[in-house]
Amino acid sequence: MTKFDVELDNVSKRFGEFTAVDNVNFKINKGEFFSLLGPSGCGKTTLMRMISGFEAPSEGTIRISGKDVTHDRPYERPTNLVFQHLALFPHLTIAENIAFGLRLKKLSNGEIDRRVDEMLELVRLPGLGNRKISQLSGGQKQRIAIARALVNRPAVLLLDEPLAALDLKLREQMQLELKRIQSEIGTTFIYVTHDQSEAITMSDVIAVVNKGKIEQMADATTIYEKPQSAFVANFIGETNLLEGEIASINGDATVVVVEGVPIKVKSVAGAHVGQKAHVSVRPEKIIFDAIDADSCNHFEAVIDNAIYMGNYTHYQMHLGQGLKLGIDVQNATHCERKSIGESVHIAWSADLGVLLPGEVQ
Amino acid sequence: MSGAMPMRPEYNSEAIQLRKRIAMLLSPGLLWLLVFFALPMFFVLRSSFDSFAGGVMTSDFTLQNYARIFTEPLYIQVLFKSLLTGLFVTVSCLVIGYPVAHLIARSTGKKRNLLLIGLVIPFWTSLVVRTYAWKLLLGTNGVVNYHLMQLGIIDTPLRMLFTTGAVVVGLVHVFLPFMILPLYASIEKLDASLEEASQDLGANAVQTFFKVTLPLTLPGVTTGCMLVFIMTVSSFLTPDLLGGAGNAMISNIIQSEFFGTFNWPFGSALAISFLLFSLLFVAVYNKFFNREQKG
Repeated sequence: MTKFDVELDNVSKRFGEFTAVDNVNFKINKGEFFSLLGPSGCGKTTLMRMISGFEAPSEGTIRISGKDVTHDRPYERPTNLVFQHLALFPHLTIAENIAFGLRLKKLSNGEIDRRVDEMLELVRLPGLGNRKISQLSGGQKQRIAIARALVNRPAVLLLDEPLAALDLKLREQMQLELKRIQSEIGTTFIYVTHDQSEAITMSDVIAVVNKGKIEQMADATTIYEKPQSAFVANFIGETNLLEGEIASINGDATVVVVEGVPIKVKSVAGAHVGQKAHVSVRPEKIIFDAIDADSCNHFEAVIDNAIYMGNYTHYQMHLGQGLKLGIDVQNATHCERKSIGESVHIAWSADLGVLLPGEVQ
Repeated sequence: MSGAMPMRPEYNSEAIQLRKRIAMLLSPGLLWLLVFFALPMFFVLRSSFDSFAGGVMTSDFTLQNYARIFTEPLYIQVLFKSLLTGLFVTVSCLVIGYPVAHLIARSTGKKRNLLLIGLVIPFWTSLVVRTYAWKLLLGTNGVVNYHLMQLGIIDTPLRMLFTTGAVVVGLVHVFLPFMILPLYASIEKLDASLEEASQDLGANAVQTFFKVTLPLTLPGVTTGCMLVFIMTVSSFLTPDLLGGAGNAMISNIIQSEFFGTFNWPFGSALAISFLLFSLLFVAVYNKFFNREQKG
């Protein structure tokens, strides 16, 4: 038995001239909460539809629990899908919706009733079995859709942006709920989303998808702190993406000149002097300070704009000939806020920036 | 809302304004129906109580025309046969039409438009012409018999024209679009992800059809069946041209009373009886399916 629930080997999908998924490889461990994260049209939905069997790959192999399912029909696979618009059957009651898959397996009525009740308990809607779908609220429908899929005890549960239609508060609540359900039953979840905060909140592993390819696959902290490409740095959270040329490499210390300003950053393998490169610095890593150390970037800047965001203030500023930076500062105490036009000292430790050699496509 | 509830005067006058507008908008249609439908129907009803003897109609108030319908077996037989034909044609249209409607509803863009145009093209040709085309196909020296004999499959021509089979084939051909269109409308509204959800939960194509697609498109099925059944049972031209005397349906019998024997009172009684029977049928059908949909 393999320790992987889902394995994709060199999977590609083309629609005519258009390549939706381009030679994708990944393995998902048993019981993992795995997210496919990317902008719309990046191929994440096609990947999900291939795993659930609604599309056949043009090339490559898909294995679930070690078994090749590349050409199996959706109803032959040990996967279940929570649809984007839920797709609950309006002509059936809640209990009948959940029992749909079990009835097809010809289980006894007693067994079906028991498992339906068990699921209603799991999604915390006990006793609602006889209601109609139209009598449920948005959040309740979510839970029923999840119950209807999970009751079949799939090896893998796929979720296609199921929370997109909910308002913010309910969405946050359902994210925690999903995480709870997943850790209670231990089923592998594949969660498809374009919402980076959703992926960060819930996932054990995030695969960032762009133009049909996986740009980076890692846990949330690595994806955020150590992005491997300018796309990942830009797509996940806010960042200052500074484009320049590598001026010197000295052991661990690289200097990139961006619009005439030398920026110190930690070296990475494969970079060479004279190469175009990006430096990504998160806005919350930069502080108002005048530290002048070798391991630090330290500049004087002029504030162009200050946007009050409640728990923090976002400052836009420029330094030198016009290099623009954004900084987020927590409104922790009644500290004085900077005003527009003010000249300030800013600093960030060189190892908080990320060097991304090569040009952005 | 209770009529005894006091209303503010301005609300009241608004309501009257609205009622006036409705009356104005409806009046041309209502006038048309009154002159060309209600009035003639009243004359038919009145005439059905007249008596007819020796080729002469006499104004009267007799039930003998109605008595005759129920005592002479011919008329009950024709009625029964018409209903049976209606049932057969409806079921055939449903079985043939559903896959076509599903295909059109699930195709997109140019392909869907082409299929829809294909569906309505037959309406551009007169029904008489299309029915005569069937005569050419099915006749003793017709296209089908010719080719079957050329191929040596049969020695003597098959008798296809003037059979119940010919009537059914002709009627299915005429009424198929009336089944497909409401089915198409119903299937098109059905979210395709419901069918996918069913497959994802372990149902194959056949199970998905009977557990999800069909129950959720039942409104289209009932509308289509109702349309086709009513139109089949009251059809005149197709049974007349393809069925001949032995396959007459209700309308053919009524026509022959009016223009064959000129027994208008009896023809009227047949027309009224058939109308009442149709209304009764529609009422029962609606009641049954409304209950079904309320679950």
